[in-house]
Amino acid sequence: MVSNSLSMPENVTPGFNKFSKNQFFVLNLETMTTADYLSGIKAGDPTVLRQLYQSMFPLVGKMVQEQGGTDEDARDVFQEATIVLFNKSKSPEFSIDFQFNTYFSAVCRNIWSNKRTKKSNSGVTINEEVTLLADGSDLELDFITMERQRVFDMAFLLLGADCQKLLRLFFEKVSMGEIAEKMGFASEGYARRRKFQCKDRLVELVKQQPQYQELTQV
Amino acid sequence: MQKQALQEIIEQYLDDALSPGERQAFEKRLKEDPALRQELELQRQLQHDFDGERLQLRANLQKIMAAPLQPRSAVPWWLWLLGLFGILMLGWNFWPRQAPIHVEPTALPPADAPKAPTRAPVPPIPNPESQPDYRPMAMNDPADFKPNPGMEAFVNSNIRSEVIDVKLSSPRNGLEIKPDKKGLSNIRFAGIAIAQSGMQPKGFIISFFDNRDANNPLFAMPLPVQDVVEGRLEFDLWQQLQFKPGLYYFTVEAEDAGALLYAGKFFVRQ
Repeated sequence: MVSNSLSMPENVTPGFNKFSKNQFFVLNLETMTTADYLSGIKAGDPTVLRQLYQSMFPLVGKMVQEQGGTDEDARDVFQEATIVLFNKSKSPEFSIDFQFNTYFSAVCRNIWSNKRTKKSNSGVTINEEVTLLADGSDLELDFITMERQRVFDMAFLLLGADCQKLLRLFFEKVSMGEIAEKMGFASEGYARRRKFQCKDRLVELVKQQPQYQELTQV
Repeated sequence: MQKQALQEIIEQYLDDALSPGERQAFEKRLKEDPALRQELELQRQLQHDFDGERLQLRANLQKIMAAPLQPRSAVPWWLWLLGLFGILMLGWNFWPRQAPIHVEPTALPPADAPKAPTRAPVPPIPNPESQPDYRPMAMNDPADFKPNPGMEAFVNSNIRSEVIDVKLSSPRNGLEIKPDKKGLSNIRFAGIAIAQSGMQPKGFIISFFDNRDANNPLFAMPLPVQDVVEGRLEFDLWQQLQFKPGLYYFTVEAEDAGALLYAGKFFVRQ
């Protein structure tokens, strides 16, 4: 009834949709590209990490739990997979020829497969490299390095904030004089003493990690 | 103290900072002492495995993963927006009514008059009381004149934007229009918009709605700005539009910002 009686003036915009203009700005993180994820992981960007966790952890959790793993196992797998991508993204040659989700899932499956085998076979596969995708080139994981880094990181993050700060400076080859200055210590001698104490504590914590014994046996 | 001295010797050895004599002596000790070799290896690994960025990443991950996972919504984002719009429309219904802004009634030009130049003076305005009372006649369908509650709330809410204040001198709210012999309704859209500093809209969009559907405009057309003086914009546009008899609503929004600035209504009666 309306259409018969209404004609458009010449300067009318047919089909104009009043909500098609930029009225709503929605940051749709679901549209993040592989490059966005990789650069976010490389930079440790909390927004990207949160999005990664939100979008991928439920899938990882489901996969692990369906195969007899626990929530804790799933968390470990997710974290290790992220670290794997961090390590790989440092290489300028590294690229992903798959969708990010596919690649990340494959890395998680790979890590979980290794963990599962290790659980049932007392660690006999820890020094194996597993390739899951057909072309394989980027999915070879060095599980020994992964485990060693994990042991180190977990021990390091158990240190107090002061020790963490001091050892970061020390491992980054900052001189003891500068460390004393940055940490507000009275002397370089005291900085040396504190460095010794912190590092000694780190060694102790590393040795307390359950995976440390496995690594020394390999 | 001995332990600290040993740790420092190991570090110097790893950094290649020992003198040749010290190095030789240390390597001799290494051959004889398996525990020292193990300690050296551990220190080497600590140094090798340290990566500040990776540690930061792991710390961030641990923090993020400590928080409970937000439940994933099965509802797509655009449905949320649609819901939000619905809530806003509902809000307008309950918003306290404000008196409509005062507008000066204007007369329409003769139907066959040429399009008025935009700068032409506004014709004298007759007393609205003297205008003929176009009551719906037999040929007008009463259903086409039934007020749309959503749009009425919209019109009565006297929409005000925080950045652009639009006032229309024409058409006055609820204007009755009698189409000419060709069935064309002459409508003049004139008024001013006062924009806050920094805002300079390029133009406006008028969208027309019938009394049945408040969500989908019948059509929309640009309303160009004629004059701009220090944030005060004027517009004056004559249009000949063909409407069947009925109640119509229109909205004005900024072309670039898309913000809704004004809502009005008019009647077309035979």
